[in-house]
Amino acid sequence: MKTCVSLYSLQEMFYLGKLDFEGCVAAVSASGAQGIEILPEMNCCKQYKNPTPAFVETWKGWMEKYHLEPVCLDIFPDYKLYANRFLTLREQLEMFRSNVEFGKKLGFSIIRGLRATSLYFLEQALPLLEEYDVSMGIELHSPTRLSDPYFGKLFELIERTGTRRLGLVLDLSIFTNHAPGVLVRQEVRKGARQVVADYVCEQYDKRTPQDEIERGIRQMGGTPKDFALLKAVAHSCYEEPTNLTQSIVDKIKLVHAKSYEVDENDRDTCIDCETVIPMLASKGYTGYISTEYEGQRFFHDPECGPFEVDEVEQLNRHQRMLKRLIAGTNSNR
Amino acid sequence: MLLEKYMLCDEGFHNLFDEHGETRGFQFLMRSTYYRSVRLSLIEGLTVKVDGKEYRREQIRLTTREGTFSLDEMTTMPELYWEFGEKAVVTVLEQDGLGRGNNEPYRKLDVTLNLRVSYAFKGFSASVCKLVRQEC
Repeated sequence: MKTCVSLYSLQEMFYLGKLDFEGCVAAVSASGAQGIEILPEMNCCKQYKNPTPAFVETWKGWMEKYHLEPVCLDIFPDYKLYANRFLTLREQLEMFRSNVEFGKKLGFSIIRGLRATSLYFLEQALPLLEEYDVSMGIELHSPTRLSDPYFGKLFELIERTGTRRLGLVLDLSIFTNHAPGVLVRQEVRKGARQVVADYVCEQYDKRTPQDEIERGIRQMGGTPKDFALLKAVAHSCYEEPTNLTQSIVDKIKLVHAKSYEVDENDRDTCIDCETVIPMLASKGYTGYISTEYEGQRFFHDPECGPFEVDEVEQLNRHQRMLKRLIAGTNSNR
Repeated sequence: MLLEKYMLCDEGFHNLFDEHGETRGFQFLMRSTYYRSVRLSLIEGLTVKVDGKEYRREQIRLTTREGTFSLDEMTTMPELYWEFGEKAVVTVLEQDGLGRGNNEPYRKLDVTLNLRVSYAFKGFSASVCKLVRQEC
């Protein structure tokens, strides 16, 4: 396994102009990652359609200078471009071709798609993936589970067509073993009661079903803010890592290591990387694992004030954690 | 919550005058809080209220690096972007501007942005209400 960083992780610094595109690339390199994942519509939207040769050269120069491999391009199925109609299939395929071509020019080999992409569309897009020699992974993210029917049908499609171009981007958010502390603290700032927050965290750890937790909160005289906390926490889920079957692991194109918080000992405070990464290695996964730090968004409520979380520090801690976990497996022999 | 504390800028909120010094509207600065640059045609709504007074859709203009457009004009512009983090100027065309003789230093600005994000059933919506200092 090799490590990668999604520029989603540095979104706040980029948004505020504290790091430019090259600055983000440099920060990824400094974290020790070998690969990079970008969101073209976050990082370089003006180049997304028909990138200039100068831009492509600059990008390639950065990859060489910072010793990075372009790994994954995050795209979005924007079929609702207009208010009065959906794009036709042909228009969607044209847009997809343009997105894939952009990725190819920059050297990316994986395209990250969303579950909102219809399976019919994906089947129509297969020849295009062949033509450009790239793979596409559909992201599976909490609260969607491994047993979700869309993914069941995607796996059927992959098996029926025998394609190696399609697969999964597995987001480790589905292995959230504790309610994310940054999220819970935000809900408390917004008015949920601490006693309810403690109760929800405790019940989450016991895997108590949501309706039972809801009843418990009602018995505590739940306020709308208390229930808002539960709703926010319920976006998380914990899938048993043993549910990652060999057949599923074989279809993974990229692992997104979602992170909300990494502590000063380089341990993720709520996502079960310690179990899942060795398990992926034991099932023969040798691809990239990409840090997708998302904790910054829990400091964006006005109640939080001007505090800014240190995205670079979180990223560095997360990469050190991934390297420790990978070194602990035998997959690199 | 996503970038919401950064949506309405502290600077740039003021009346807009014509060449004769008459007020013709007011302006403020805002960033989109969605995590991608916004294709202009995805902007379904941008509503503005000052101290509770709401303005009509036709009164609103958005100025990005691509130019100045009304909300209706933007519905046909999928190839132009409001960039991630870009401070855009919102202009509200209103003869009285922020109100003649209203010299309160801070005004309550209440702004909602709605985007037609394909993968989200309800789209993307951000709403921020903030006291912003009115510049002369």
